[in-house]
Amino acid sequence: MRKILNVAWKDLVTTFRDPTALIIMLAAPYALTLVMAFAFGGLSGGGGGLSGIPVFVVNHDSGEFGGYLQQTFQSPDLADLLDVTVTADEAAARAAVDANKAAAAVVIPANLSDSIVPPGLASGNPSALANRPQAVVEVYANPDRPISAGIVRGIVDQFLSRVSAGAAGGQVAVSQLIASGLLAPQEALTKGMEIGERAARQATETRLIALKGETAAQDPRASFDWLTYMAPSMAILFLMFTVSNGGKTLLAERDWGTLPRLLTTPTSTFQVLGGKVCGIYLTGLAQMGILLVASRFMLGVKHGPFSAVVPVTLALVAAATGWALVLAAYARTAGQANQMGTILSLAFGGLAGNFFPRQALPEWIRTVSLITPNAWGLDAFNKLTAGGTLGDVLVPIVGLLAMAAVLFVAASVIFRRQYA
Amino acid sequence: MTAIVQVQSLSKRYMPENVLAVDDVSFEIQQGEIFSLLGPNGAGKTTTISVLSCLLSPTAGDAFVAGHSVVREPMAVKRAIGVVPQEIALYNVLSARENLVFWGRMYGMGGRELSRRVDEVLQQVGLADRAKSRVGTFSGGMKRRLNIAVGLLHKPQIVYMDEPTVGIDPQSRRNILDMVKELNREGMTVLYTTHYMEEAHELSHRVGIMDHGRLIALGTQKELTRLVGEHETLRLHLGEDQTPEPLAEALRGVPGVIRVSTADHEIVLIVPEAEDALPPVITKANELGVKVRSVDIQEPTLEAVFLHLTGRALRD
Ligand SMILES: Nc1ncnc2c1ncn2[C@@H]1O[C@H](COP(=O)(O)OP(=O)(O)O)[C@@H](O)[C@H]1O
Ligand SMILES: [Mg+2]
Repeated sequence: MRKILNVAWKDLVTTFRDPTALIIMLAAPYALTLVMAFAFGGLSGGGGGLSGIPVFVVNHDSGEFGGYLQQTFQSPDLADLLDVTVTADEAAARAAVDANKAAAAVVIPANLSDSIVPPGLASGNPSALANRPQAVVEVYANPDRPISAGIVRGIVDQFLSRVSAGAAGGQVAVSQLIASGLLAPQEALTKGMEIGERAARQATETRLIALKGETAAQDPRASFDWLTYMAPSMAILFLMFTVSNGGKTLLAERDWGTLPRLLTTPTSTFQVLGGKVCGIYLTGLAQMGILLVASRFMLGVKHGPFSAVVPVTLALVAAATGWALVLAAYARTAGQANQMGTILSLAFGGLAGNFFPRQALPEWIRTVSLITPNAWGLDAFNKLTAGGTLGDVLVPIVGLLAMAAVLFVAASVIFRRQYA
Repeated sequence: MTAIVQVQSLSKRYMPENVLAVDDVSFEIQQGEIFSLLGPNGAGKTTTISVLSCLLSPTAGDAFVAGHSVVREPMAVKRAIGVVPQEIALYNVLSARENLVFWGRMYGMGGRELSRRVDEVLQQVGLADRAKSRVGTFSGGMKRRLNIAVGLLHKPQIVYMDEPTVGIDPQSRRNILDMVKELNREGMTVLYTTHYMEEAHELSHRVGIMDHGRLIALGTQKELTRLVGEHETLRLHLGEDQTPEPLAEALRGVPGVIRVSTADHEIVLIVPEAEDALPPVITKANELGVKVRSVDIQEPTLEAVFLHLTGRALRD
């Protein structure tokens, strides 16, 4: 047993010293959780992970709408997330971004308001609506802070899409009113402004970044909580990469000559392989643990009760390790194991719904995907985040353990056939 | 004398390639000696070592290490041996010390005894000052030395070294050869394989010459060279202004000189014993007033033995 643990510990230490492995194990899933959650859900969830993002807002627009966008950034809801500096000095704002003092600078052009409510409307000319000037709000992003800059860009995007939807609505409404004779052309300006303003104000008032607790309290099913879904989902996706990489080292050690050398020591084949299996398992477990703890405390994601998350994770890593062993037993070379591991990890992720809500997948895919540990793991975590306890996840736990058992047996059969 | 390794009619055929890598080989290694297997690449040296390490099971025959059969008692054999594989087998991301601790534990060592032995072998291979550096940062020579250190950790009864100087600079090679001799002086029995005639010559008490899986000659270096009937070579280097012919002619009459040949400013003599032949040769040179700048004595070489037995040079 001491020798098994010696091999396992060696593998754990080796993996955690490999910068590439660390990126794949920890940095990539963490970053992707943020990116995916933000891309789809506008980052709900709040919490202490991202806060005080330094942003410069340069407002060249003297009209109403520039002000609304500026106010959006200064709204109390975003006060924790953003640290906003409003300035008229565009060059200074850009310099701050270049000097890595800010995540992004938002430059509101002088013609923003004009592009939404054209000045021609003031002289009672409704056709002015048709040839509004084009306005471009620039987000000057800091490439060193892609996630923070992405959040700023997302806030601007949401504001603009709401305003242009509102403005388009306003345009149609005003034209229709004029055509139907209900509105005198002279009144078009006031009316148009009113409708546009309402849309813009709505954009300001709508919570772009809602605090998770509040959203949930209002209506649990009203909005899908992407962050809570993506945090375990990305961890599971990258767990498969980690364990298949661990399986690959079995073949790599053969190439390095360390596996034969291990077998010249008074150590049985069973102990050597057992050590490798434990190493894969412990590495996967460490990765899941770190990612779950990180998303809990840095992103505020609540994964569910500890007493249920732990057994789910233990069973999940066991099943994933089973796949890694089958892979290592089946592959002939380390390179082949690497390729097969990547394909398997991505295929499992796609099939099980690691990239989008599993609930949205067609019934048959959800059924087929039960051959993946990912699917069972996602189901279990979804149940737990929806308020489930250990009793609710017994089925996935048993499913995962059964999968692990079958795969361990399959792997040892293939191993025996190959090394006989 | 006790034999620590007894190889009995050992054969190994690789399947499915159907390569007979070791063909009916028998030899013994005595306690306290350096025994070399000398042979070109592909001769079957590594395969022999693999069988003696219980990594491969023999197709026919058996071998006993410290009295245990490699077929029936592999664990007992593995406890008795230290293996230094031909390919460096270490973990690059671990430090030298971490590697040694890891491998020591695989030999069942632990605690204080292990850390004391780790210090000792680090000293022995001259890596004590680099103990904390990762092996990935080491030069080829340093890796080779650590590779050897791993095989010495548990104080084995015999250490197998499979071509431990391949691919390193002359300085590191010198280090390793001196280390092997030092180890042997301290009582370690060594099975050493090489395709360098000079290494086998410098180190070995006895040599087995392998070719195409067969052990084609076996014995002390004296026994082997006698096998060819080769004598020692005396090479006289003359001054630039000297012509060798008159002296060469005179030397043909000196008793004990078998053959005399000349090259530019050089006379090559074949003699049974250089020590006996040298004084009369020098006397003759003085008589004729020929200035001899230096003299080389060449022992009969293993290279010559291999050439004689196979009709090929060792390194082809
Ligand atoms: N794993 C293997 N499978 C098939 N043939 C092998 C294998 N290893 C070595 N051989 C063949 O066996 C012969 C002896 O090889 P080896 O023992 O490595 O020689 P040496 O160590 O003297 O260079 C060579 O012809 C080699 O090609
Ligand atoms: Mg070899």
